[in-house]
Amino acid sequence: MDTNIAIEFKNVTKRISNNTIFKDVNFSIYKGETVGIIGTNGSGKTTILRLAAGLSYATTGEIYVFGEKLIPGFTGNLAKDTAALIETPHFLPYWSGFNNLFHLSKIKNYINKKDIENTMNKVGLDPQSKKKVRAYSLGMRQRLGLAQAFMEKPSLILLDEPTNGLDKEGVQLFSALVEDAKKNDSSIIFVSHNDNEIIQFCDRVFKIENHLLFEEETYINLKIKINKSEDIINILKLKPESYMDTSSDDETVMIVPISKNSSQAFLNKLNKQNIIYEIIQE
Amino acid sequence: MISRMIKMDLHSLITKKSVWIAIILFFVISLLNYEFLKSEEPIGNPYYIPSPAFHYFVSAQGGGSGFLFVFLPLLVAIATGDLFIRERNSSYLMFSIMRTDIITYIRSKIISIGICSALIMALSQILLLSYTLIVFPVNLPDPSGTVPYFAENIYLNSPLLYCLILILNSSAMAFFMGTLSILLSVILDNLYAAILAPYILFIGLSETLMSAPLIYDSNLSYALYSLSPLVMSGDYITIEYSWWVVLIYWIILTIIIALLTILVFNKKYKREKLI
Repeated sequence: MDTNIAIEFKNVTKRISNNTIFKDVNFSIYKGETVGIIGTNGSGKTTILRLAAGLSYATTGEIYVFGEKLIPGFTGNLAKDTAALIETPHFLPYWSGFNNLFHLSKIKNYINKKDIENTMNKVGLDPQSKKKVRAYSLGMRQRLGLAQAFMEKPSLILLDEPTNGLDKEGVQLFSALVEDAKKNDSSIIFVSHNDNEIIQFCDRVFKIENHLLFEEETYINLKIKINKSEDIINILKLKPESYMDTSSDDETVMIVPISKNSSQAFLNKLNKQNIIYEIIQE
Repeated sequence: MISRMIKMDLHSLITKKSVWIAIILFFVISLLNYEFLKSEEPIGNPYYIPSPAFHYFVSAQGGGSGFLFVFLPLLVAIATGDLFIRERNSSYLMFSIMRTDIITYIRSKIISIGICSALIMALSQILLLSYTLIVFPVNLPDPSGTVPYFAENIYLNSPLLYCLILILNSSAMAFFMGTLSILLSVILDNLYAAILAPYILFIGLSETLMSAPLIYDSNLSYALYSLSPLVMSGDYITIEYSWWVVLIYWIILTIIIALLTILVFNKKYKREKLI
């Protein structure tokens, strides 16, 4: 088995009663990779996360996490060094946010109070606040749930609609958390309905449709600065869906929505046509 | 894992109002029982000698004029009955299980809640005993007076040790009730049902066993009566048991319920009805 693989699904089928959620799912996620899963409501996105966490059983097939086969249940093993935020989190209402995280952290005992405080600050929550969780808003609970998932710096993080209930600031804080996790070589699987999030965070995207899982083309917004304003027409000929970046003061910055796989080919074409450009952001 | 879980559950107990309500209720019921016992004293008799503290403490536990034993299981249910179901009905159960494994989690939880329940009971009983020793005269019991049948020798010769044995027995009962509350919290979804169901089951089963002699007059019926949970909570002091019988009774019942809890927990987890 490839030691760079964080999680691998092999011919996994999931049925509940007589309903097939999905069948013969095969995919691998590498260490340090961030992968998105999209699909319609009820297609089985959350079920994939639950299977990966060992909270649910595959009807047939095998799941490996960091090389170890997941055997859910009493005499089995759950995914090690894995954290999850599946559905809207509910904590113990009579404790503060800090106390909830503190007692959870004591199970593995990897981190100390300072680490919890740092993580809470990163999600925009005050670790010194005595406010009980029962008084938290949805957004605050979501932030606490994210803190719970990221605080121990696990190698695999499973997130279900992680930005649900978050305001603009919360989404930015989440983005910073994901960047930190990537630097720590953590693998992340996240389920989202938000295409922008998928494009922004994910290296690859999978889609569940008609009980099957397949890899989707990943689209990025390539931001390029061109030297000559005449080349705007040439780029529009190559990629009609391109547009000017109105957020920039520079009138020669364009945004080119393009699939990750074909971005290099596009740049090669620009080179062939002697169009001088500078990549600002992928 | 077990020690960390105990610390967590103890922290929960300190922050929950229901624990303090249970302890206050315990004292209210105990003091009411003491007043009732006092009212039975022949104060008008010129040769009347006030009963010693040990008499009050032991009599309140059960048998004849004592009624504390009827409420002890309810007080445990109020104090610790919601510890597991709140975790189960939140994401906390999932977060905890993902940091350990299923068997370690449920085993630690049973021991932790059992110990917390026993500690609450022991603390309450020790405070009551301390109060009783301060307020009432501390004399050796009179062998010619009212003497419990349970471990009679120990009561007459070492009444303080006797009281500690009673506290140990009620703590063991509390451990059992804590375990029973986990079992019913695994089966039931509703918070209030999970808190009250252990007490209702406790009383229901006891009443059923205690009515056996009314239905059929035999040695077996009287044995069933003597072994009912309510009798073993306090009324056993009217029965000639050795000092270890009640303790062993609660230990055996607790082990049975603990194993059942683990089985039911596993079954519900497998059927994905738990998280």
